[in-house]
Amino acid sequence: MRVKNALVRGPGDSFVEVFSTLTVSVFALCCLLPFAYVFFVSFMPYTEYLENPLKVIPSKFDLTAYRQMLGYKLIQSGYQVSVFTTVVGTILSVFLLVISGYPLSKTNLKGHRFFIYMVLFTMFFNGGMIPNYILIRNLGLQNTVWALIIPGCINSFNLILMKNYIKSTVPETLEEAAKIDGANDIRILFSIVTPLLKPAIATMTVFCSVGYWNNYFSAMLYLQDRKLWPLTLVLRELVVENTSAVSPVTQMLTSTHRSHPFTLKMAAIIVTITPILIVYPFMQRYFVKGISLGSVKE
Amino acid sequence: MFKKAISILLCIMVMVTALIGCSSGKNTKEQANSVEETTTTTTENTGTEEKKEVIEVTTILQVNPEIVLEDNPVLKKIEEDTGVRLIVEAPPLNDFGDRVKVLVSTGDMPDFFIYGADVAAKQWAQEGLLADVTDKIKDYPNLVSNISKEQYGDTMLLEDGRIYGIPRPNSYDKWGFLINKKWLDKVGKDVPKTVDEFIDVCRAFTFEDPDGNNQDDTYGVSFGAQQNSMDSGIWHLYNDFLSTAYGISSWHPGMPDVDGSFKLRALKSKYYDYLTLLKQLYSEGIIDREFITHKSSENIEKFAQNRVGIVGASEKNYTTQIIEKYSLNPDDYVYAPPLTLDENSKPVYVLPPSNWMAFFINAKSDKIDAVLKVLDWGNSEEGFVTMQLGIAGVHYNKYDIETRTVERTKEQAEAVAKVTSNMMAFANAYKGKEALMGGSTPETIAKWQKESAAADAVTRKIYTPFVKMIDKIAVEFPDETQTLNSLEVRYVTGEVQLDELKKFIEETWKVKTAAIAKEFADFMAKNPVRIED
Repeated sequence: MRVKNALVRGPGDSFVEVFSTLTVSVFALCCLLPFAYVFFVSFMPYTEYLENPLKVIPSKFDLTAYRQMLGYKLIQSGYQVSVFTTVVGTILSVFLLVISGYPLSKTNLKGHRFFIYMVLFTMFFNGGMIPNYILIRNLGLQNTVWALIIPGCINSFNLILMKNYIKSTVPETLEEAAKIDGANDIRILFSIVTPLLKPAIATMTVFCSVGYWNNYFSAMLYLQDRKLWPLTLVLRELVVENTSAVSPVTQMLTSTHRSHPFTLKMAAIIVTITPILIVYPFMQRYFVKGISLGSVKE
Repeated sequence: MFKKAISILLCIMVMVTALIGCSSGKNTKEQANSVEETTTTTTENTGTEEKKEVIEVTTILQVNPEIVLEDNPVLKKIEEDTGVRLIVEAPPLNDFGDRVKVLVSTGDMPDFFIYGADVAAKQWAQEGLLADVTDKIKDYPNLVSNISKEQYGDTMLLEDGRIYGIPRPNSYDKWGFLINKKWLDKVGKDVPKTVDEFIDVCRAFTFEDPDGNNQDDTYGVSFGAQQNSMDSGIWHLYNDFLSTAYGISSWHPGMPDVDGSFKLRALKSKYYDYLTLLKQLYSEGIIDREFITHKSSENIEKFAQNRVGIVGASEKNYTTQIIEKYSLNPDDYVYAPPLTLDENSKPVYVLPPSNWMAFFINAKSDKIDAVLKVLDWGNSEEGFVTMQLGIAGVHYNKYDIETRTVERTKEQAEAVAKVTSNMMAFANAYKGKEALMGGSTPETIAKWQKESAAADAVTRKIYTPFVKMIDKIAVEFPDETQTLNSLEVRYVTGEVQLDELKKFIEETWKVKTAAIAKEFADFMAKNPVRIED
């Protein structure tokens, strides 16, 4: 009796393939079109936008919005702060994740359960905005860029991922072998374990850098000096025109006196997202890996 | 052993670096608290030493993102003229209220700050956090002359008649509408005066292709909307040109009802008539149906884009905030006074005292007099002009306070936007008028003068007091407020019937708000409106 080869493609497979491709293409277009619109409108003369706000391709490329926006001092300082917090914060975060994830992956660590519960606790409960503010103030971090970096340095979710990844990837026999060869714990961590964590480190780098780049709330809460505002906060100031005032009249007055041309808002968005967008293609494959990172159960 | 020593050394270096980083941005409050400094300056000409006391005062102001606070010439001018150096914190405007609330809650309040005279401010006053300035104001002549007794009513936050803040005076907003004259000519209609004429024009603007592009892409009118805790999206001052015909001003509850009594908005005689009119405009499709979810000034943008032919506008700044801002041709647009229900009625401007937030002083501050000195300067002619227009000779060449016109180059206008703004100024009006009025060209100013005078001549002005107790409704009855807002919108859009809305108002809302309604009526009896024809 001849067994039907399961790998032979039938007409149904082609249909599924075409259907899948079309569906994915539609979703891809849904994601890309807004970006394309933002990009092209940022180069459109404002009068042309007013004539037809749905027009996508400008009749001529106009750099007025970029000139106007890059003239803002806050954009310049925002770039510096964002790059600094993203680079330093990511390095610090990844370093801390590795050095805390490694001991937590050891079940024979004294107080292992206690430390794990402590980490888990912070995932579900939080002191709230005011206690956090008071803590940062009392630590002397208020109005420093460190207030943007240190509070978010160890994300408990990322720490659990890292711990699980180390546990599932690094065989204990390898560490034992290193110990027999005379390596101490620090040496084992940095010379034996860390090189095996490259995929996890790359994924965490992407997670952390995106997190740091997009963070604006800490800046709103902890910073007084506008020179320390990250780019995202500056962008929000330019693009969003709300006010948290209770009185509707106050809201209206404030909104009216701070509106910016739509083209300038689009230019601000492009300038803000471009750096982090450039990072994505290089890190994309790690993002895919990151989905299953640490998913192996203890 | 050596490696261990290196490891420890590296750890210490990391910690030291972090600490140095932490201390790099010095807390402005600490800076300010450390100073009541005496600076010594040498006068170049005489070579003599002159001792000048500078008091540092911390403040939170609303500052546009384009303004640079470092070496700001306007702040320097304040210091020169008053001897007070302002240490300004400028939180993000989107989170301004939240930031102020955090600082007040954590005891980090600056010496003074700007905020709305609302329920939060009232609570702070009750808790004794805000300085009572009632007895001090008389010592500051500009705070007396430039801010009226009625305007101070805004910062009488408690029922004790005391003043807990210095209002930022604004000029009166008179709400009429702007209409596309080219479209009017195309459809052969006149500027509408009554609601019926308005509906007629809206129909023509929607269905008769007024822009001549052979496409069904225009609407008669677009309204403003603003989502907030108190109102649904159908209420906005932009819409007052229509609602005042029904005895309702969106956010000015002091407007008397058609019978002269004072009632909450939903209990007014023609409340249902007005909502039914909106429902009619909505169902006919002659109003821009997106208006309910508008944010900020999207209705104005649509007007500038020639997508709608009529839009609500403030008489004092329609030339600058609409025509010039969107580079429109002034000759294509006409400003008109509010509508009436019939030809025998007079259009109405509702005019509560106009403030734009207020300055509140920390009750614990030992620099209250320095704060008042600065605010007094901001309300003087010199302070007002400096904070609105910048430094004479640098940001403008000539300014006439009588006509409120300025001579400045385009470069000067761009430069001043980086040092000050009317949002940052301590007063937005001097002797009742804003710094610039009517526009930037003589032609636009002449057109504005003519149109605003014509509208003034035919309108009835109703001067009302500040009415604070209405704000309590949303705070005390948030669920009922949300239900009412939802029912209003759903009635206008045709999702619920009038009976359902009426039932809720009569059986629930009216009962819940009875005490506040009575308090409001009693207040209005004691503080009557002033009517000028």
